[in-house]
Amino acid sequence: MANSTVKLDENITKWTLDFSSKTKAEKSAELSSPPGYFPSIGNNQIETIREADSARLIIKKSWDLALGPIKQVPMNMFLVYMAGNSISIFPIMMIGMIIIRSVKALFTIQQAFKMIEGKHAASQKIVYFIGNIVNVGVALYKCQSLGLLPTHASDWLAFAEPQIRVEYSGGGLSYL
Amino acid sequence: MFVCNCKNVFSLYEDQIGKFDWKKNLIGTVKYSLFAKDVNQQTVIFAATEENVVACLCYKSGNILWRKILEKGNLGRINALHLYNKIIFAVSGTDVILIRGWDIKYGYLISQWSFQLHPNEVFQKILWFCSADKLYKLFFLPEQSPELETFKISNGEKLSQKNIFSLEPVYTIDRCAVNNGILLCLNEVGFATMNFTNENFIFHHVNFNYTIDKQYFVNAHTNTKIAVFTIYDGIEKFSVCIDKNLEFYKSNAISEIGDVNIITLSSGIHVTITVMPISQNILELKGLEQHNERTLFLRRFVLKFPVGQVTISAIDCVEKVADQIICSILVTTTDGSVILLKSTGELKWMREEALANVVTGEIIELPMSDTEAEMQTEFDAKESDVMKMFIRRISSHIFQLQKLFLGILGMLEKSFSTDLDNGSKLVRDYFNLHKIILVITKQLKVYAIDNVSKDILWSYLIKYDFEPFPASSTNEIVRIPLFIQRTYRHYPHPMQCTILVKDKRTKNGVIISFDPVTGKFESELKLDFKIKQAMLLPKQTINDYLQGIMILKEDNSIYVYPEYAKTVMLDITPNLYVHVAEADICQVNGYMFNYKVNNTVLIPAWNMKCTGKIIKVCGKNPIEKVHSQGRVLSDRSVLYKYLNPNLIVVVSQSFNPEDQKSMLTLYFVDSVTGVIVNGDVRYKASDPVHLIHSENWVVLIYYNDKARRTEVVTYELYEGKTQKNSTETKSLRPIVDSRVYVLPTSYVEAARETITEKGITSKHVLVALSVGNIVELPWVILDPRRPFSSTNEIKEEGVLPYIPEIPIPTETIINYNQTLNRVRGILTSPTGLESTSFVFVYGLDLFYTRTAPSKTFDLLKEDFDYVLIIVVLVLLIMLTFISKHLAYRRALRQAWR
Repeated sequence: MANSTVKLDENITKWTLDFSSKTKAEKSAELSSPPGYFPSIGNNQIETIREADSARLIIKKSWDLALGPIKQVPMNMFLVYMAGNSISIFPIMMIGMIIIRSVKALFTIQQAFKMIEGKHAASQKIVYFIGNIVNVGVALYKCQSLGLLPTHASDWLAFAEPQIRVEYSGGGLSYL
Repeated sequence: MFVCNCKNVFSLYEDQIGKFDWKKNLIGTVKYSLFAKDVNQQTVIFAATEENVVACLCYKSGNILWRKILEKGNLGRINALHLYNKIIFAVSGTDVILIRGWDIKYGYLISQWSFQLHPNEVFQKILWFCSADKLYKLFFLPEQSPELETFKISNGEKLSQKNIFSLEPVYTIDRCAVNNGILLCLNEVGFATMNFTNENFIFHHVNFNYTIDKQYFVNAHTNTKIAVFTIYDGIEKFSVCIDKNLEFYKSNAISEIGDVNIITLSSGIHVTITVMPISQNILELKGLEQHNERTLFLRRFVLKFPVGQVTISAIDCVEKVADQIICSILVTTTDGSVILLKSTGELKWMREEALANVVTGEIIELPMSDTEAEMQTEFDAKESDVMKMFIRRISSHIFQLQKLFLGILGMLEKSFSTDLDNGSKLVRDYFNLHKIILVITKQLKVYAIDNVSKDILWSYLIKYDFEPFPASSTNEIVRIPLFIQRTYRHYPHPMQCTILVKDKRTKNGVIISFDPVTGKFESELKLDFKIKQAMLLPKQTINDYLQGIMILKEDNSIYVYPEYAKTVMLDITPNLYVHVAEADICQVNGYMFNYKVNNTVLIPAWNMKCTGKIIKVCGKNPIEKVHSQGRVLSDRSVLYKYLNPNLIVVVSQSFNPEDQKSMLTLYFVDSVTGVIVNGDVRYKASDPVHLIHSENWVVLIYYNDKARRTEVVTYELYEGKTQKNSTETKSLRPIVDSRVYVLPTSYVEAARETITEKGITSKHVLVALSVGNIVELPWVILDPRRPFSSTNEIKEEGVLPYIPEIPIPTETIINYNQTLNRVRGILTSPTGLESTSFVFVYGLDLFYTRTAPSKTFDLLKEDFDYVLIIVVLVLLIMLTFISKHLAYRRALRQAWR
C-alpha cells in the first residue's frame, strides 16, 4: 500500500506529501512509511550483517568458554596466596574447591567441547584443557607448600614392611 | 606445655583405685615368730622373716596388721625377736647391731639403740637371746672361751661386764643354740647344757646314746616357757626340753620332713607335739602326753597348696580344764608357707610367703574357648581337598550347635547350683585382658595367679632335690630359665612351659615341663650332663607345634628337647647361632652349628674378651614387634632404625685404677658375626646396674659414685637416611646417639620397658625406685636426640630440648600411694588392646596393673555417656518420623486448597 502511494506522487516530487486526498479505502489502509525509510533496504542490510557476524560470534563465544579456566588462574593464585601456609579449614576448603572444580571440568570435557565450534575449535579445546590443568597445578602447588603431598620418604614410612629375620641367635650368661 | 598436658592423663581418678590393679603384701619366709596378746587381749602373731620384715599378723585371718621393713641384706638381718612390756623388740644387723622396739598395737617405733661389734666379732656367729628385759649376747671366738654380755633391751644399758666361761673345745658354735636362758651345745657323744641366767656358768654334760652322723643341727624354739631344742642328726629329728635345773626330757624321734616340739602343762606333764606332712597337701598334727603315751589330739589338715618340709615355729596352748588343752601351732615350711593350725582340727589360714621370693615369671595368654578353638582348627586345616573341607565345615557347625545346646543346659544347671567351675572360666576374653601370671620362686614353687582376681589358681612344688641355677648378677637371687614351648594357638594341644633346674647332688640339668593353665606337670627329665646354656628354637615341630629347646652341654655338645625336635633344628642350623658369656673370665663366645645328620657339632665363630666381670648380657624380647621402621626428621626425611634382632648388649664391670672407682663398659655386639657395632664406657659407675634393650634403643641405669646420684644413659641406633637392605636384617655399623640423664631419686631397683601387641603404641620405661614407686618415663624424656639448643626444626620434630634432670611428676607413678618394697623385677606383657600393656611387679610385694603409654586410644573413656548417646539417637529418629508425618499431612492439606 505504501508503495502505491509513493508511486502516485512520484511524478510530482519526491518530497511532497499529500494529506488531503484520502479515500475510504486508503484510510483503512496502513500508514505509509515515513520519508527516508525504506524497510526493504534496511532489512537487507541487517540480514547480511547477521550472517557475517554469527561465525565470528561462535568463535568469540567459544574462546570465552575456552579461556574461562585460564582467567580464573590469577584469581585462584591470589586466593591461594592470601590463604597462607597454615593448615586450617579455609585454605583446605579453597584448595578443595579449586581441585574439584577443575577436575570436574576435566571429566566433563566432552560436554564442554560440544559447545565449542568453529574454525578455532582445536586450539580452543587445547586452551580449555590447559587452563584446567593449570588450575589443578595451582591447587597442587598449594598442597605441596602446605605439605599435603606424599613426596617425602617419611610419608611412605607407615607402609614400610618390617625386615625379615634371617639368622637366629640365642644364649646369654653361662649357667655353670 | 604439651608434655605437661599429656601427663595429666596418665593419672588415675580416685574411683579407679583398685579397678585395674591389685597389690599383695607379703612378709617373706618366717624365721622367728611368737604369739602374743595385744592390749585388747586379742591374740596376734609376731613374725620376723628372712626378708628382714617384722610383722604383726592377725590371728583370725592371717592378714598383716602392720609390718616394718628393715634394711636390706645383712644390715637388717634379724637375729632375735622378743616381746616385753607390750613392746616387740627385734635385734638386727651383723656389723652394727640395731635393737628396735615397736608398739604392738600400732607398730610405731618406741625405742632404738645400737652398738658396733668389735671387728673380729663380725662374721662370727653370735647367739642372741632375750629374757624379760634383758638382752644376752653370747659370742664365741674360734678356739676361745665364750663371752657373755647382758644389756637392758629397752635402752642398751650394760647390765653386766663380759663374763667369760670355759667350754670344752669339742663343742663348736655351729652346734650351739640358746633358749630361755639355757645354752645347749652338741658334740659327737652327747650335749652340754648350761643355765647362764643364774650366772654360775657351769656346764652340765649329758651323754646320749645316739649317733650323730654327718649333719648336726640344733634349733632353739622361740616363745616357749621352757627351753626346747630340736636336734637333727642327719636322719631323724627329736626335741629336748630342759628345765631350769638342767633336767631334760627327750621326745620321740621323727622323720626329718616333720617337726616335733614339747610343751609343759601346768601340772608339769610334758606334751609332745608333732606335725608331719603325710603328703604334699596333707598335714598331720599329733599331741602326745609324756607319762602315759596318751594321744591328746590327732588331726589331719588338707591344704589348698602343696608344702615341703615343715617346722613348728610357735605354739600357743590354753588349758581349758584338766587334761584338755587347745593349741594353736604356727607352722612354717621350706617353701615359705605359713600355716596356722588349731588342735581342734581347724586350719585357720595359710599364707603363701614364697611369693616374696619370685625369681622369674611370664604373663601367659589363656587358651581359646572350645568353640573358638574349633573355628581356629577349621581354618588351620592343612588339607586342601574340597570334600574334606566341606565335611570339616559341616562337622564344625554340628559341634557348635551341640555346644550351644550344652551351654543352654549348663545355664539351666547353673541356676540350680551356685558353685562355678574354675576350669571353665579360664578362657580368653575378647580383648585378651584375662591372663595368667606364672611365677617361679626361689624355693622352686610355681604359682599361677589370675591377673584379674589375684587368686592363686594352682601351685606346684618342685621336688626338694632340685635347685635353681646360681645368680649371675647382684640384683638376682637365683636364675631359673623359663621357656614357653607352645602357646595357646595350637588347639587341641595344650600349652607347654618348661623350666630348667639342676639336681642338688649331681648338679646335672633337669627339664620340667607343665601346662600353665591346668598346672599339670607332665614330665621331669633328669639329664646326665650339666647345662651351660639353653635357647628356644625359632621353629616349631610339624606334628605337635612344639618349639624345641636347644641345650648346650658343658662340653659344648648339644642336646635338643624334645628329641624329635632335632629334625627341625637341622633345617635351621645354617642360620642358627648361640653365644655363651662367661662372667668371671669376662669372655663371650659365639658358636655356629655344623650340619650333620646324626651329629651336629658346634664350631666357634667368634670370641670377645673384656676386662672385669660381665654383669649383663641383654638381647631383645623375642615377642617384640616394631611397627615403625624409622623416625621422621624435621625436614621430613626418614632416619631408619637399626633393628638388628641379634644385637646383644654386654656390660662388664671393672675397677678403674685411675679414680679408684668401678666403671662399666658396654659392648653392642652382633651375636651372629661377633662384630662390636658400638661401645661405651661409664666411669665411676657402680651397682645397682639395670639394662633395657628394646627396638633400636638401650637404656643403662647405674649409680654414679662420685656425684652420688642415679644416672640414666640412653642410646639409640640408626642405620642412616637410607635403608641398606629393606627386606632382610643385616649387621651394619649404625649411627649412635646417646645422652646421659639424672634421675633425681635414690637407687633404682628394677627397670623394664612396656610392650604392646603390634608395637604401634609408644614405649615407656618403667623404673622401680627404692622408695617404693614405679615411675613411668616416656621415651620423649629419655630420647638421646634431645638437643642442647632448641631450634625451630627440632621443635617441629617434636623433640624436647635437653635438660639433664628427669622430672618425676606424681602422676607418672603408676602405683600411686601403694608403696612397693624391695622390688626385684617387672614383667610386662601385651594385651589384645593395642594401647594397653600389663605390668606385674614382684619383690617383697606383688603388684599388678595395666598401663596405656599412648593413652587408651582404642577404648571409649570410662565416663563415656552411653545413656545420653542413646537418648539423643532415639530422639532424633523419633523426630525424623514425626516430622515426616507432619510434612505429609501438610502436603495433603495444601493439595486440598
